Amino acid sequence: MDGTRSAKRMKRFSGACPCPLPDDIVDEILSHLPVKSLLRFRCVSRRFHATITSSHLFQEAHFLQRKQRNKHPPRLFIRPPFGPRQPFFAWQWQWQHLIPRPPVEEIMTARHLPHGTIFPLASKSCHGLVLLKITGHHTHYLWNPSTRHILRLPGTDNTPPPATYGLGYCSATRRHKVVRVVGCRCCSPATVVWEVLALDGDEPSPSSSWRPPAAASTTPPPRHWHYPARELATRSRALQRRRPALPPRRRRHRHIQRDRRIFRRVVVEASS
Amino acid sequence: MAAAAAEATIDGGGKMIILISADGKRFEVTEAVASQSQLISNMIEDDCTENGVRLPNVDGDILTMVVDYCNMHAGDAAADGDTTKASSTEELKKFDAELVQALENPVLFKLILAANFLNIKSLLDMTCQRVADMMSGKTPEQMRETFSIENDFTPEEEAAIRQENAWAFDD
Repeated sequence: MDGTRSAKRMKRFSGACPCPLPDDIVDEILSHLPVKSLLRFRCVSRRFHATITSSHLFQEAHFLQRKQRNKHPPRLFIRPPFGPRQPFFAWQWQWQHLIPRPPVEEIMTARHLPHGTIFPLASKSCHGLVLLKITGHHTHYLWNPSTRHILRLPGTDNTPPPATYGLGYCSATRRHKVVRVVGCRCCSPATVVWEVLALDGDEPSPSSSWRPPAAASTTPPPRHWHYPARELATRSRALQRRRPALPPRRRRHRHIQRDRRIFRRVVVEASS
Repeated sequence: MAAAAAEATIDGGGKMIILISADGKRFEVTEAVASQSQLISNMIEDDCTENGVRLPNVDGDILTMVVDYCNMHAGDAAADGDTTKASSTEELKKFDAELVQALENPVLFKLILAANFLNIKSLLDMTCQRVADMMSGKTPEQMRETFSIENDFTPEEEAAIRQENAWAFDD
């Protein structure tokens, strides 16, 4: 098999049927394609597969290209709260009409997710990804509505319910990060621990695990977990509510910074 | 020749520049038109356009299209805040659409290569978008055919990748 394949490659490189365009221009054309087409074209060749699946540079170019083309990209995907097997829908934001409109697209059904009430922790994606919470299971999933990939966050099963989750995008490292805040009331003084999980695309990076943020000094996780202080929960909810209103890219980094500030403040208040 | 240059100066276009295609066709354009190409713009800055700019990678018929495009878009960058801009934007869109609409793939690819070589970002964007629009609904087989790409997957590997995102293959 290998023999035939290398023979085929030789044929390609010998110019028997040369691609009319150089690779960088083919990539440029690919960056103008919708995600559905790209997922289909992953099986065109190994090079296409590598570019589309794992090139950060290409993914960034594609993201910007789509954003530039679609002036109102924030589509709100809201799932009706009742009926666990109902699909996710996409809504187009209408600046002129404030009346509710029918959904523009059915994204997918939730059949790959466990039973339970599923709701996104924001009504809009954070640089392409959405954090889903499934009540009753205390599990969190990362969802990429464009590719329909769903990823169960590692280490969420062992953590009892009180953790509060948030998703951010760091434009410097081009990585998504999930922040988890857990409170403990039985420890004296009461502590709030927060941890970060770095992601690589819509998957955890190979070396990553939940870890304390580099910039903060946190106490080690206590042995017994409890619901975090009511104030923390309220603040986190307010944070989640605010998140949809912060789309522009250049503000995103600050967005994470601001989350950190809020979380830090919570740490101080709860333990004092 | 001198009269033509003088006229051009009155029009506000500045100095004239001669572009020479691979097959020897000559195109006379104003500096404002030519400098939409980043390549030529750099050459103008370096003062090496005196004897005409030879473009060995670009055929005459392709260069005709590029020059047409640049002529249409010449006022584009300069006309910020102009009240007539709204209507002219419509016209430009129509012109752009007509320019690429009727082109067959081989010609369109040559135009893309010319835009890339001359470094005209807006033309490159537009032509790439046109190809993408044509390809978006196509199958991987048609994609391979269009770009002459050899399938270097084994049938099993290809089937596995198709399986991963089966929904993308639904119509």
